[in-house]
Amino acid sequence: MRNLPIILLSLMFSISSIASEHYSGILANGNEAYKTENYNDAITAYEDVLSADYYSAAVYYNLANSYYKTGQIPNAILHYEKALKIDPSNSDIQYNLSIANRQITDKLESIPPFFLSLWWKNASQVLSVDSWGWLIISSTFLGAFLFGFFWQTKTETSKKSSFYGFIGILTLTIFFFFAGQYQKNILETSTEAIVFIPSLTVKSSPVDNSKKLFVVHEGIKVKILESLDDWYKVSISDGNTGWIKKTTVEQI
Amino acid sequence: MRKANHIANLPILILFVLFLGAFGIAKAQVKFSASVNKNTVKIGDRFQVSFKISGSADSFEPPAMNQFNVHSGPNQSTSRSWVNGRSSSSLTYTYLLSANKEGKFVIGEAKLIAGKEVFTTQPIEIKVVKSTSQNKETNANSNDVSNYVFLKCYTSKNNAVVGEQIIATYKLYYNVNLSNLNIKAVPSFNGFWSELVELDPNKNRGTEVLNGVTYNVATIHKSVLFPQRSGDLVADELIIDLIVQIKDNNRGGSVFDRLLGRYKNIEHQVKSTTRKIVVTPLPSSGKPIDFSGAVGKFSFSATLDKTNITANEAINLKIVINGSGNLQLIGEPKINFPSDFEVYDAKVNDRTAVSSSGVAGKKEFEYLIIPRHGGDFEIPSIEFTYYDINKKKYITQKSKIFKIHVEKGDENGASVSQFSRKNQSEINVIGNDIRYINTTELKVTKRGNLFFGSGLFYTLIATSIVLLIGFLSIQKKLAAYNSNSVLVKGRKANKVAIKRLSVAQKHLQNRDEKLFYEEIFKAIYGYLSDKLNIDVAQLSKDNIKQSLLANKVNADIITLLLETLSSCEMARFAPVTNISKQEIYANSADVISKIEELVK
Repeated sequence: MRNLPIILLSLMFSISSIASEHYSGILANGNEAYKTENYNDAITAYEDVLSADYYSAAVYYNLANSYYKTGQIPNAILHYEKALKIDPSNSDIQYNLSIANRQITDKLESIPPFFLSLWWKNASQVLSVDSWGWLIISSTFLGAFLFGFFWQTKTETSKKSSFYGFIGILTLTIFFFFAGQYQKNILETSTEAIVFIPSLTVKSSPVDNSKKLFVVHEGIKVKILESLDDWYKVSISDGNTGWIKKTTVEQI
Repeated sequence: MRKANHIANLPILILFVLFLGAFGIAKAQVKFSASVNKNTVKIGDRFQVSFKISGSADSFEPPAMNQFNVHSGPNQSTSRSWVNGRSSSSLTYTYLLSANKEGKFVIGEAKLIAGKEVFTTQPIEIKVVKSTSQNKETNANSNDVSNYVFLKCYTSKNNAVVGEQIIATYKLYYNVNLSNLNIKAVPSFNGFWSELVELDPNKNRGTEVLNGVTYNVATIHKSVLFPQRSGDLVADELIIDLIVQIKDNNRGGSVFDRLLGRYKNIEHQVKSTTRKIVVTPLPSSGKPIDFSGAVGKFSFSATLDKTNITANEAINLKIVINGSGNLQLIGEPKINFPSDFEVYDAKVNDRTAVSSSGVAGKKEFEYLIIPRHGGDFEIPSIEFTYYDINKKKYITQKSKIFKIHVEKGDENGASVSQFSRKNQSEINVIGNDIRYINTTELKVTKRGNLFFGSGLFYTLIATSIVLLIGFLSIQKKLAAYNSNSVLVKGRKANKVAIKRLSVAQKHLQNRDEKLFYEEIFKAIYGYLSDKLNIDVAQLSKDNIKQSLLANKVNADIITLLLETLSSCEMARFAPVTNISKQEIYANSADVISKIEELVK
């Protein structure tokens, strides 16, 4: 009876692994092509994996590298950002994204966000969603163990310490849960996009002949605030907002 | 003796040499050409045909000239000149002719027999046009001007590869008086890198025969061109404004004018012809990666003045590229200096000369290198690649590998240098590139298959809670179980008794009777005390019997028990027995097991 969760777990993993084995192979082929500098072949392989709805941070990262090597900077930035959504703390992705961002035309000073939200964002991005998930599982087991120990033990000191331990673990678990949930939201909803038009005029309203506000160039990241028909209301990192056509950007 | 002999023969020898020389000149230098002073004439106009013979000839045979009126000739003239200490003579036969019909006529070949050889001249075509009336005179004159003055462009090649040098020459042909020459537009040479050739004013004049007409020729412009791209490139127009002086003999005027000849000045613009050059790209097969565009014929050398020095001393690396070709376009060769060396920008010394035969010379690169730290260093082989025009292939020349031994330099006072930090340097970031792909992580997940928030995730959380609850309820049961300590004692009684009996058996084997009986006695007493919950001190045969009866134990068993106890008691003090020790052991075990069955 006690082995049931383990059996269930391994069963689920084996089922998913059979299906994903094939795409792992394609990913490996892509890496091989990258190694021999056949970047276009590598791009095809990685895109194959993604179009089959399989993904990982590594797929996006390697694809972005291939795009970078073929000079397709907006595509490279888009996929670095996608990779970073899955694995926010990966320093390789962060570094390459910064290199790619140096290649674009626009250099924008960003307004620093409120320190608490920045802190929360950074804290939640220390681990990926699934890492948070596993951390929650281990902390609930630890919590359960501590509670059991607290219940069973007789001496006052061990009872006290195990109780405080349990309360601590419980708070941490709740924190982990919210961090994971926050990450999951970021992952599953896209509020940012990369501009794919070499030179894009941002308008004051979602009408073709409305006033031109400012011009951005390909590769810049915009935040999507609103959507109306085939227009997005976006803001750029310096805080300016305006309307652009949906077709001009690619969502992260 | 021999010497004297030679001297005696000297006059004969000189004569012989002179004879041979003369013969050699005659043989080598016979030249025969025909020319006219104009090849478009009006009816009735006189023109001149000359046949020039240089060298000695035996007989001259003029061509038939019966389509023309011969006014005079053949008039002979000779000239003799000394060039570089050699004499040459020429004989010219001149005819003065005129035509009386319109059309094209040909002055045929003239023949010259010199020794056994026969020389002929090129036939000359003469175009005879109608004599124009007076009021069209001006027009006709300016038309004529372009026959007397024109510019031609010559290129040394019409097909070239990118970077190959081509010499473009612009020559002005004229047989009228010119003045006020003014170059209005120089060729732009689009698609070429061009180098102007300095013209020596004394050497760029001469005469040339073109279509049978002798012209004065002046080289106006000369450039060495290097095509920079493939395709059809053009050596384009050179434009000159000038004033042409033409003898005006049709207009009336004073008698003096007629006698002395009146000249008319006509402003005229001369445009040169153009030349198309087909430029093919350099072959891509076998093109080395480090090829930088040098085309021509070069030699390359690299020298280092010192290979054994102490730190902070300077060394000189000199690279010399020698040859002809697009030297000006050759950049610095790529040298991988040890990154610890301080290398100053190369001093470039361009010693190229542009001449009529192209660009040639040498280019020097001089590097000043200062190693700042001791050690053994190596400058890898320096390579220079060029495309050889003649061999039509890429050629790479390599220098040797330079090994440099640098002694540790003297610091200014050893004690100070121990603490000085000036030798520390930042790590030089040489290039900037993205990091390599992730090749270790090959696992891919199906989209939407997040572990966080999945069924498995919640199942695992639930499992932990269920496990906790299970554990708690088991704990609770255990506590309840343990709460009745009497029950526990009774349950434990059998275990203790069995332990004691086994000890007793050990004593029996050791033939230690006293201890055997004592142990049996203790086993039974202890067992009963625990089982019946009576203190050992208060245990007597009577209350044993009573409480066993109360527990509904068979009377036979009680009797057996009491008997065993009495025998044990007796045996402990008096070692006389009516029953064997084995029997007592068996009985006591039997009794305990039976009571255990009945009393719960």
